[in-house]
Amino acid sequence: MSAAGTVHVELRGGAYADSVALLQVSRRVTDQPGVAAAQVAMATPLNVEVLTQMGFAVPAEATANDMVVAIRLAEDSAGDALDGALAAVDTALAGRGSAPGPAEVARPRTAGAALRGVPDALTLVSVPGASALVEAMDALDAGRDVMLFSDNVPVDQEVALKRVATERGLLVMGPDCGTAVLGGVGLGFANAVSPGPVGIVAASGTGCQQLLALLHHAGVGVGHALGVGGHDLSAEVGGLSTRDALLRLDRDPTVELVVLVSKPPAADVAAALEEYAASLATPVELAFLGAGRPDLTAVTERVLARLDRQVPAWPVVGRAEPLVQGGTVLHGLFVGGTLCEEAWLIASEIHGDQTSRACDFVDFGADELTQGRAHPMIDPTLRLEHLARVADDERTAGVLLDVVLGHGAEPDPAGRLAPAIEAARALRPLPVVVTMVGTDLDPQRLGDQLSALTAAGAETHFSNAGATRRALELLGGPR
Amino acid sequence: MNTPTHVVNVGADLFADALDAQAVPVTRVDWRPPMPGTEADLTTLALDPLRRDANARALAAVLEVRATLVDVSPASEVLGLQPGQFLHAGPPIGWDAASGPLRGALMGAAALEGLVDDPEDAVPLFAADAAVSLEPCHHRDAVGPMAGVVSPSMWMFVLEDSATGRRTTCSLNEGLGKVLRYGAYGREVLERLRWMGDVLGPLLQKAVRSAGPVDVTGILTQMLQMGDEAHNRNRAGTLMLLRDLAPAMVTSGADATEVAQALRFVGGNDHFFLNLAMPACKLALDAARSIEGSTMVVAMARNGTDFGIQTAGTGDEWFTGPAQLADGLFLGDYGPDDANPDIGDSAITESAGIGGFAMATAPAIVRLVGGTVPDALATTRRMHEITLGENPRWTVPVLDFQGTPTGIDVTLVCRTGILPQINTGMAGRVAGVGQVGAGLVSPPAEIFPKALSVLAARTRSRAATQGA
Amino acid sequence: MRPFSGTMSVAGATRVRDRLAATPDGPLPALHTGPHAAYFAVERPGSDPWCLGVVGTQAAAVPNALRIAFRDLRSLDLGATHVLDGTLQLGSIRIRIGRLIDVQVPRRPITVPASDPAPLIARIGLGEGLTPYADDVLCGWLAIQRAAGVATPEVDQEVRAAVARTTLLSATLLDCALHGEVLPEFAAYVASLGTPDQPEREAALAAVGESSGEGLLAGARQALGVETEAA
Repeated sequence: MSAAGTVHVELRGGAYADSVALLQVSRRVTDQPGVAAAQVAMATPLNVEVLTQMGFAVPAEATANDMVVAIRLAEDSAGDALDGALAAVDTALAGRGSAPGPAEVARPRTAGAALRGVPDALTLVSVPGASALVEAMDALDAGRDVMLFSDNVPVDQEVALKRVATERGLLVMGPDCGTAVLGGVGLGFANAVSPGPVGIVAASGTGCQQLLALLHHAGVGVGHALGVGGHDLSAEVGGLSTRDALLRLDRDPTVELVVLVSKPPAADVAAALEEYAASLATPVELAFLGAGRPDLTAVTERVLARLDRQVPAWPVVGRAEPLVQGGTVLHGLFVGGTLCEEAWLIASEIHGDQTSRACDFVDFGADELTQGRAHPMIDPTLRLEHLARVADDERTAGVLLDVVLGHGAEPDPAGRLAPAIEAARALRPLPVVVTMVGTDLDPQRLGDQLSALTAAGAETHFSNAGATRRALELLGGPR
Repeated sequence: MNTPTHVVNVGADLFADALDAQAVPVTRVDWRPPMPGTEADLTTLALDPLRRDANARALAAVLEVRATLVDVSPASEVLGLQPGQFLHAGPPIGWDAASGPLRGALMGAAALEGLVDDPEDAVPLFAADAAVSLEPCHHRDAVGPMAGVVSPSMWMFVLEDSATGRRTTCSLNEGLGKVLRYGAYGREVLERLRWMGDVLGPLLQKAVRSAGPVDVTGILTQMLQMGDEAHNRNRAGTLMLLRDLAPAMVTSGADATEVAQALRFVGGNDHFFLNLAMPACKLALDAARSIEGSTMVVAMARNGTDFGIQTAGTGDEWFTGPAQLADGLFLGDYGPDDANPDIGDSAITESAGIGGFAMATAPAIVRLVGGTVPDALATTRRMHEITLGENPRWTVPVLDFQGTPTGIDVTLVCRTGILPQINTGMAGRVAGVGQVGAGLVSPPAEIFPKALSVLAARTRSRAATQGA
Repeated sequence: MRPFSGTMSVAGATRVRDRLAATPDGPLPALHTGPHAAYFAVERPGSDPWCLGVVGTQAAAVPNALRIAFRDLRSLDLGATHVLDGTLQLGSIRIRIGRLIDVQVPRRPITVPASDPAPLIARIGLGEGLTPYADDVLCGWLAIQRAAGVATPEVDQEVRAAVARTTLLSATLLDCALHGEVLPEFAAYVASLGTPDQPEREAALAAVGESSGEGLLAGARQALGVETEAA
């Protein structure tokens, strides 16, 4: 029996589930009768902070390997509400990956065991960084390519892994690779596009996604988009996977042009890559993003030009109006790191050293904000809370947001965002500009997403560079 | 660059869900964090350039061995065992730490050798370490079930790998009930042992020498398809051995009464073949010893107090932890408090992929250990998660003739947390009580990270000396 | 995981999706059902009937088929296949096309000597099985023309006129070939022409089906003007 308003916090050592699964568990428990608030999460520093803010006291000895079950009952809850809630926790945790029935066979426990049964599978690894290399090596030992979504793999391990891959003619996409498209199949967070003559090699996920979406919209398809991970072009790694990826695309007769997109690599890495790219039969467009360099939209336009294809007018849907008075700050709330950086670079071109006064851009996909949490493309909670806060702030003059559709992203981003935009604009009629990275083939129904956002008062651009410039224009020039 | 026809997903289900939605076949790995503190060592070993090939060679070497029974002789001749020298099951142990069954067996053996008249008088001898010495069977290329005590006058099966001439040995199985290996040392135990040394051993020797080597590996291959798993169930194997040796026993020239006694003795002991299965498994696994870079387990053994393993890549080092209590069914009135911790070298059968690893092939044994048939199938399948490969000769009919899971990989145990499953008899805690039950037991988990850490240290020092 | 109700995702070519979307509600009679593949007749007033395939991972991935992500179709209620709101239903399971497949034969800079397919056209419908060997040969010949970027309007017309003589599945596959739509093994073979992978890809193509793959390869080689081995 539990008193109403009871708070229950327990630590479960040796229990583990990934952050997306725990998100679903938390939701299910919160829906239980008599539960006012609930959170089931691994006790990473970020999650402990969130739990503390929710009013739960997390024991000091909790580590990131412990699962925290935190439940607060409603004031008027029934006596057995806590038991019911805890039972729901157990059911929900057991529900996924439950023990098989007598006729079923248990799932394999390692990549190696799984690969024994399958002749030519690609392996996709998203376990915590400390264990990622071991699973990836299972794939390489089986003679297979591997995609590593996992991050926090030490550089020396990344180099060692990639050297083995190169020796064996295999490809390691990652670590920290969230996006790939192989022959029409999207891996990780990827957009559905028509097949076509372009091949992409990308060190950035959302950078790749922006190219995929724009090229698809321009009627030029993309056959393959190979991710190489966020650290491949560093001085220590030296572009090992990038070379392997370029070679693979060069060998594919359906690829007519390769685009390599990344932040500027270390100088000698860039030079070596340029030389290598020049040695290939397929032309390579090198797109090293950064200050003074073409943005992703400009890169797309260059690609279209090289293929002798028309550059369309990049669509804009809806219309935002500037605030009549008040507010000086443009808030950018991004789920895509590269989109955030691109927006910042464009803002810096206009505002120079005043940029940090005029603009406050947050990348919700950054490591600090995703420790033990689901990525914002799956769980929009943090961003929506932030949106409410900035809307309430008198200094805010405008809001810039990105929405990324595609495989892996939540099924209806506009469904959560549009009401939040409406609520924000109900306080003050702020201009809200949205970058929509998505295609008409994506599972989220692009048309419906655009309608919802437009109805909420947002102005939506397909081009992130376009959206950023428009948002800055609405803000007004340098004061 | 092709469209993937299949994806193996390790980690968040959301990626597998997205592939399901694209109609791409996906295998979802049920990944869990490795044993605590093992991540760094696992990574080191994953990157060890020797590991993959070393493990392949180790497994191949094990699978190639054909064990044949070539002789039966006293331990004094075959092992050069001297008076006062005693072998025992499991990793090294002294008298002080020894449990009831082991002490009882040593006391009985001391009386058998004539060191004392009354076994109880042997206690001060062992306690003072006076003119007696203890050594693991494994250190003399031997294995022993339960207490596994070997003394000079005990007759031993001698098995040989004809390709290499390597040999292993094991004593003769006394049967069930009050027997030395369960720590009994009463008059009837010693009488039986003397008869085995005076009559049974020499008769078997004549038979083996005249009939020619018995193909023990061949018998194992057949018995696994006949409901035996070679650890807790050896009935078919025992009968096939009898079939092979009986004619030669009859024509050996020994007295007909004695031949009849011997045939009755062997025929009436369903575990007789265990003492051939065990050294056959050891012979196979020893082929993998000292393969640098291999992470394969070459021995699992218990002395009633400690459970120890040795690996192919770490020489003679034992990695030990407390022997566990088995979980299963008890005979008569006995209960968990009556059971001794795990004891015996018989876990060499699981090390070689049979015994508990082949539980799926021996449904009858499953009830004896308190399980159900689906449990038995699930266990064998689970053991495939921690082994290097399958034995193409030893196959399990009900699993579509899949080969038995062979070659426990220390790294896979640490990665999955799945411990080797052993089917075992349980000895009574008090010496001489005998068997109190049978059940399932596993090694203590901590010995695997210990072995892992030494393997990883070797990898690092190799890399350092190569200046890699 | 086999869904016994709800929605199941499959992969298919754009043209299959579009033609299904234009099909009125109603049952689809089964032409053939087996453990790995099933074929259905699709009719629509004012259009030629065509054959829709539903194939598992072990079956030939013909360009007129929806591809299911597992091997055995027997858990599906194929006897109750119908169209509802432009989507395929297998009993109570709604089929969602979760991935569009590119079934186009790759364009290659290959030369195809002028050749007369009249003998091949004359043999349309001759032979046994769901897809007569002669039809497969003609499919291979046509697909190579498309790969080389050669338009064959008169041939196309004659083929269309002749398909009534053959099975609905074969007629549909000939129609696919006219559009340059092929099996993945055929596409891989064409992609490998003139590269070291070619022998392996030829063997993989020849291994498809009972003799269909061999027929396709034979037709391709004829179109390429390669000496064929004596039968």
